[in-house]
Amino acid sequence: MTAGVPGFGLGGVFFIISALLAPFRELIMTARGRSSRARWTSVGGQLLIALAMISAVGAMLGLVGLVSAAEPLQGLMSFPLLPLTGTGALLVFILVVAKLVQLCSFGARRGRPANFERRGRRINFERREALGETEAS
Amino acid sequence: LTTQDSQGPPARVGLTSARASVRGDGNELTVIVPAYNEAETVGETVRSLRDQTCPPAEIIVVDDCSSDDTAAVAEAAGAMVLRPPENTGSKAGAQTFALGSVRTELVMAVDADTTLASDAIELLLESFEDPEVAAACGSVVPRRVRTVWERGRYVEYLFAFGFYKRIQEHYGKPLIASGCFSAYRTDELRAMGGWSTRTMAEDMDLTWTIYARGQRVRFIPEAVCYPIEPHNLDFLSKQLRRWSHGFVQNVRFHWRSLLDLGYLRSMVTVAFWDALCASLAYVILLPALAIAIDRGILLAYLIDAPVVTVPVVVQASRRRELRRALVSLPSFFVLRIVNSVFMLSALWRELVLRRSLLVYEKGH
Repeated sequence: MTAGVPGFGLGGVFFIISALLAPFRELIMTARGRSSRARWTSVGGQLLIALAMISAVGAMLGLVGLVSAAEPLQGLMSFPLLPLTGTGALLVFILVVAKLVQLCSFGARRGRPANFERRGRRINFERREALGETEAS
Repeated sequence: LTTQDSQGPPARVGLTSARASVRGDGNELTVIVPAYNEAETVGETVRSLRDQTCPPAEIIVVDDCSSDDTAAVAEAAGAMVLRPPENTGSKAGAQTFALGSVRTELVMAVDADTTLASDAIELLLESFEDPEVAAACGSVVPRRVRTVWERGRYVEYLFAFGFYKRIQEHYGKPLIASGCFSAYRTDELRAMGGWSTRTMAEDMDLTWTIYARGQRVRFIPEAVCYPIEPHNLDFLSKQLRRWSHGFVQNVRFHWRSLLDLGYLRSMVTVAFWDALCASLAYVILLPALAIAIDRGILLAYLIDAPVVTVPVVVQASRRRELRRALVSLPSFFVLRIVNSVFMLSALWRELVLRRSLLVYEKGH
């Protein structure tokens, strides 16, 4: 959770998925020569935490099933597919809606990048030019 | 006591002809410490800044018309003290008041009740070797962990800085450069008009503005600061009121620019969803279901306990504070219900009643 924002809801799921996808992103960064051992260490650490969190959920659900089911083995093996799928679908739906709003907004601007984007690119270019990096690249 | 020259800021020195990278050098850094009645803590803050492995060129304490000995304590500790002609009304206002006196390439904001680990500045300044980085922030760990509120916040920070913020850093979008300890490029900060008072969360506002300008913010987990967190419900209420209203105000203010910032857009979208739906669930839905159906439903308040525990245990182990973290864990579940109440109230007032919070109430 972000301090002050309650709950471990979709935000938690979002960051667990982000941690699971981070190694793939880092592979791309490595291919582009923009990675480092420190970055891989960080990605590995967060991946392990995410996997441990998923295991904790699995263990808890198994325990709940064990307690609530008539047949303990059946309870342990039961997997609440519907709630988990529903949560994932809700997350995807919300992110897609946000993306659609962005695309509509982008369309309204007729594909032109916003002023702040152009300004940001110019500032970054000036900095790199001051360092002589633009010539090298 | 020194007062800022009303003729405007002094000439800027130490700036290269163009914006360039800055190597980790305290000579390029000024620290601004806004203070209002902070005589008890500001001395320790200034000393911790002077004892850095990479001490700043200048420490400016803005005594925002305190009624106690804040100015004298700060000056005795070795800081330069500025005093505005009248109370600026907010932390952002006090910090921006001092910005005109900054003559270094980098500027840092540190709260008057916050101390830093001895290498915190050195670690943070390394971020600015990248010319695209406009701001950098570090980890936050409460200095005092005694009451239920401090313990709840301690767990929140272990979770947020041990898991969430590291992932945000990986994707290049830390959600907030924390206001209690962050560094900025002075020229960029001036170009943005300093710390804005248009929202109650000036740090979030500044961070999102930096992203909107196409620049980067870094999170350095090893750079640690130690603020004093609210120890009672009165102080906590003031802080949570500011934070919750500030979050909603920033979403209202920045939503158009957030749309084009992919990962940040996704983060804010799910955070907003959680702010609304988790709050409704904790404050209204679960108690209603417990009354209507079965009291056992109240166990749902703890349903994510194993998930919360994992990153907290990992981060506490890194800090060798495992026992303290485990003892503090139950307090987190109390704190988040209080968070929910304030978040729901902020959403209702800001979005439905359209009554924006405009008065900055000092907590911690």
